[in-house]
Amino acid sequence: MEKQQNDLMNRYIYQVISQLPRDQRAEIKMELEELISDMYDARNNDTDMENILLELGDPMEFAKRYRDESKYLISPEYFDDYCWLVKIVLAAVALSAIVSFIVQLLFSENSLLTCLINLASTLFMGSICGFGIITLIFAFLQHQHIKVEFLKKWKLDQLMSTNGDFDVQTWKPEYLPKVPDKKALINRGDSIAGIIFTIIFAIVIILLPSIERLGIMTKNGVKVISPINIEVWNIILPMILISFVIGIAYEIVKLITGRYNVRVMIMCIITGIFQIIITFILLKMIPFFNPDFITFLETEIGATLNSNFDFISWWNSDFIINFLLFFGIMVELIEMGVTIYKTWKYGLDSRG
Amino acid sequence: MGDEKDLVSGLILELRRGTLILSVLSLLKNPRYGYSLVQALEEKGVSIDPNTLYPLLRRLEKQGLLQSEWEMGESKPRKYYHRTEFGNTVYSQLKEQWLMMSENLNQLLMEES
Repeated sequence: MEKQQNDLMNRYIYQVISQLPRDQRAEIKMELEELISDMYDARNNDTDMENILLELGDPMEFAKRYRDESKYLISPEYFDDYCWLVKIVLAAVALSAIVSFIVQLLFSENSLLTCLINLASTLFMGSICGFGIITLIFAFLQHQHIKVEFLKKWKLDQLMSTNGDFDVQTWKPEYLPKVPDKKALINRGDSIAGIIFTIIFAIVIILLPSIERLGIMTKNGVKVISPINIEVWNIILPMILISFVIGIAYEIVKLITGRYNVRVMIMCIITGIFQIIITFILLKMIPFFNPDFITFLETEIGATLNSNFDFISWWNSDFIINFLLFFGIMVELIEMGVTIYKTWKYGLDSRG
Repeated sequence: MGDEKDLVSGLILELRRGTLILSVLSLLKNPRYGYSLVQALEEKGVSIDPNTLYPLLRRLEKQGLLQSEWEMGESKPRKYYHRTEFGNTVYSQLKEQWLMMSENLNQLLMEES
């Protein structure tokens, strides 16, 4: 079989097996290779691979028959990733609940009982929320996938009825996208690590206000102060949570798509811009930190720095905030830059 | 006009569908691989698409009626299916049912015409 024929066959098979559960993919791939090469041989090598694939029909339909045509909330294509993610999210929630528990125990005035109750409620609520958000995101993506397929079919059905021609092929082998380059694939480990850290941060930050006082050693003894501006907490908290959900949703889209393409790149840019805006608002426009705390940092640590490093006083509250802002923006820009580069290099020729 | 054509071919498909499993089981006393089964069925006048047959074979195996083995020899790996003991039992029961049903149906059709 020629290389081009072989490539077309591989594209077809790839489309079929990507719709099927992971544990069946290797075997069905072999079955399909056996079948297609048998069909090729039976025609004495004088047909195009295209004709054979046309005979086999739309790979989505083929995959449906393997799957028993059931309807899924979350189809096998995504289900393995979904299970994996749910486990990781739950583990992250547990871990961060425990960390917060310890932090509360050490730094806040809450009794052991209160801390334990907080731990239990965080575990419970966090797990349910995490599970719910992941499920909703996957179910939504599944629905969008189906909608796209349905739309494709519907448009062609319309076409058929106006033409009055009932032999119109609704699917052609030339529609098959390339099998993705290994380098175009997104590293799952990165995405998963990203999600774990985001969740840990989220839970810790939610519990931050309960750190009523932070005891810090200074030259004059232990000074007790609360770091966050509690008064605007009910504005800050939703914004932070939105930022986290955006981040997680983006990571999930990356995981599901599995490779860099135009869609991923656009999502990256959109979420990156959102994150930058939110960070900007949080740090600059609403006083995030307790003003007393900032002054405290200014004076105490500034004094220490001055005495040890002879710095001029560029260490002030503005500097701290700008530094955090700069750091946040840099992280987003780096992420966007890397994604754009990878998409441009590997992702453009496979149809997203 | 086209609608009628569609309806008739749909109904014929229904007729065929009901007997497909029996046809497939009947040819699998000895091990065969997928495409040879497609060709054998064609010869006997039972036309079937590979994209129907292959998933069907998997399903029958899952239900315990068939067993498969991959043969790695020759030029390429081949998957051979054959009936299990359970498959044999089910097959003979189905066959019995079919002979009974078709006798009754033939009777009905002869009386009607």
